[in-house]
Amino acid sequence: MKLLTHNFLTSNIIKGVTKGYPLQIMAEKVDVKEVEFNPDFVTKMLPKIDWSALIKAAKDVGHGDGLPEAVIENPESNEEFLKAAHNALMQVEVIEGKLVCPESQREFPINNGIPNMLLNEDEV
Amino acid sequence: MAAPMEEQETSKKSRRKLLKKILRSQQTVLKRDGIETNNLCTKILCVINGGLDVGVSHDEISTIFSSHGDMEDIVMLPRKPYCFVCFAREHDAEVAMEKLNGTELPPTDHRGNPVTLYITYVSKVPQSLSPSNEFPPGLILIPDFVTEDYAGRLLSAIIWEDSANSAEQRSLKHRQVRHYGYEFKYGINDVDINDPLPNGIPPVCNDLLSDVKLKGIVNYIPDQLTVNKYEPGQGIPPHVDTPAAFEDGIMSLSLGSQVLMDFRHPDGRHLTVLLPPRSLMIMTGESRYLWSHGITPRKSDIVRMESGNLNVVKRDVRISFTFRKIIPPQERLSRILPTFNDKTSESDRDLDQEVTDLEKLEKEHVHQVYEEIADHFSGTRHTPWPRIVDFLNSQPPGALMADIGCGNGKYLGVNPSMYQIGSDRSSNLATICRDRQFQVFVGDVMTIPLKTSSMDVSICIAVIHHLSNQERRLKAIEELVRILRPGGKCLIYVWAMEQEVNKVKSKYLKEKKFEKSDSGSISSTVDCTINKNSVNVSMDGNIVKSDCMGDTDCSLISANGSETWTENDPKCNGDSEINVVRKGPSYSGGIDSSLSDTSTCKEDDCSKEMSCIKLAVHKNRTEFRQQDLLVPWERKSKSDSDKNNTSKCVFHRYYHVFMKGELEALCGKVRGCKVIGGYYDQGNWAVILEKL
Repeated sequence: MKLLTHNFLTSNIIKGVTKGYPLQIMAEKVDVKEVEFNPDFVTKMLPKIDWSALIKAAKDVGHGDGLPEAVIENPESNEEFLKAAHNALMQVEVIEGKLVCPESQREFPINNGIPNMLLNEDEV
Repeated sequence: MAAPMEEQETSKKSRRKLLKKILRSQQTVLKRDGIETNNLCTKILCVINGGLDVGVSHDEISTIFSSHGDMEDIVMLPRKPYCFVCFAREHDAEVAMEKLNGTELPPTDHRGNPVTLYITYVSKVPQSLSPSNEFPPGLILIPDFVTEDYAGRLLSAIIWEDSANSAEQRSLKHRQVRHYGYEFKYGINDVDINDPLPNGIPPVCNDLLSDVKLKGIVNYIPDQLTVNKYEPGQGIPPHVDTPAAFEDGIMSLSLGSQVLMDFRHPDGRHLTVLLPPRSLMIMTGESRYLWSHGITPRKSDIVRMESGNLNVVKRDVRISFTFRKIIPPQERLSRILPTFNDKTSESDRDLDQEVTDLEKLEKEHVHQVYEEIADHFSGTRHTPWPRIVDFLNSQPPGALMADIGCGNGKYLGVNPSMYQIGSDRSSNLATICRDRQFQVFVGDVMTIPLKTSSMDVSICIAVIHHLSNQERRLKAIEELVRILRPGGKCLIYVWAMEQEVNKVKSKYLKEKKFEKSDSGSISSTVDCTINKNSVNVSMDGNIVKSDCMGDTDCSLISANGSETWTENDPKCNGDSEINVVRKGPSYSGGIDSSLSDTSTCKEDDCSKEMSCIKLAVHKNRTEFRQQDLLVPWERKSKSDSDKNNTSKCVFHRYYHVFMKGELEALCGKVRGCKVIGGYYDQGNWAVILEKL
């Protein structure tokens, strides 16, 4: 699971949970896989993502260094920033661990890089 | 002088012999179309090679035959190599037969070669041309429902204005209509409840309507009337009255001419019902929701007389009064439309129990099956469907896309300029996606764990038909819309009940057909026969050559309709018409109806604890006969050591196949989105939604 994917995941599908975002990551195994840097793609992602959730996720998995607390001005012209964002969004992958709902503490396992977001019947 | 006469006689005799021989060779083909021929003279002639499929026109036949007697009508059927010529008197038919049998027509623009007409008397015409012996289920026909006098008063109450085109009266392409109460708007196939017409249903109809209610034919008073006026030769295309818009029980009073009405089931069954003058027809249940009805434009109808002989009855002007009761739009959301199985409804009970069982059904017959067959399933799904690829490639770079129910991820790599996240309920299928380096999570389409308004695009291909009631299917679409940003688009595909639309079959079916069809100019008559027996095909359009084809290690039957079915392997041929009978509440009347309307069930017929779930197992290579069914997926494996030792696993997947318009109607119930496109694609219905 890339952190870009994580940025869109929520647990507010659980009955009664209103703020299931961002999901806390408790990682047991994290990989960094090289992905071709595409500054245009990263620039396009920035308005679509929740930056503070990305920062928190990156810190959760120990890859938060070098990321500013907020998106900088004119990010498209700052390659250093874009590369840091690229790394966090596209290269860092959680392989084993779990996601935790910030409201209900419900845990969702991550195995082989795949989060299991299925709910039990009584949680729907 | 004697010699030439004899010669002439001999050549005449040998010519007759030859014609008889040729006709005999055509008998089987004609029989297959439901045509019976006769040596005795009848009023109706079948003219072989005088049909549209051979490139012969109505005008040509008319020119040739009209000079030989009082011709009533010529009936040309689409894609048939023959036509029927109907005469007023048997004698005229006899003369035409004598003179014209063996006539050669020269080549024209429409046909490259000359054709020879072979003529025979007919004692039975194809089912589509004369009244059937049975009615579609739910259809009620009451002859002589009104008196001549009352019919006259009804007709005089309708004022037809010359060349009017208003909300009240429209001239359609093939007929004239007048509306009362509300205008039926053909653009939307619905009425606008906020835009009533100044004139309600004419008071002269009150006697009829109260009579109908009194007799318990329907339990409401209609509020919308459409009067149709058909000149001879006019008709109405096949249609189903908008299910969500009008109550069950649509009534139509026929005045003036008789007419044959065509009823067609999505599985290809075709029944024709003769509507005599002053009869009242009421379409209820299956005949109202499942069968389409229409009138083929013709100038006459062929009916069987009491003597058993066929007779041609000319059509005159026919005026029909169609009464409908509008369902208020605010009520439509909560209505769940009935669905129909082949078996008549006997229904259901305890709601909670029911829901639990539906979940169990999906769990056993969808989730577990995909988990089991994941590898095998994935191995048969390589090629993305072209129209879905087009949709994905039309999205801009950097778009966020969620593929909910992504299977083995065959759409996740289509447009790599997007960021694509897949989701499937099967962890085995998710693992296959992961191995292919795709982003994927395990999740349910009814609870998508993605942020509201976060995605630019969502797709859901061949998923929603696995959900076992309308509420659940609706919930899935709501979720697909919820995750979209405003302006975001969603593409949904479901398997269609109709596996042949506008006479167009998939490429796969066509290939099969040609393998089996007879050769010669008359081969097109084979269509319907072969089609009846052919595979329902298609979910995965790409299919035909699965990895398993011709390989003894495994063979698939049916599957998503798509996979291989091996023509010559008896093991693959349908032995699957069995019922799954399990303990639990019954929903043999259709799962949806059982949930929606417990009041209609006969409480004493079923006990709460012990009733049966009956879902027919789909028989491979047949059309669908019901909307809710189990489709077998068969996996055979032969051990290397012993070739006779074949183990066979059959998995049954639950499906609810969609009728035409059903998917759009469902999407119409989802707030905050609009349907911006819809189409039929190789046995599937598709819609494109846009979030508002």
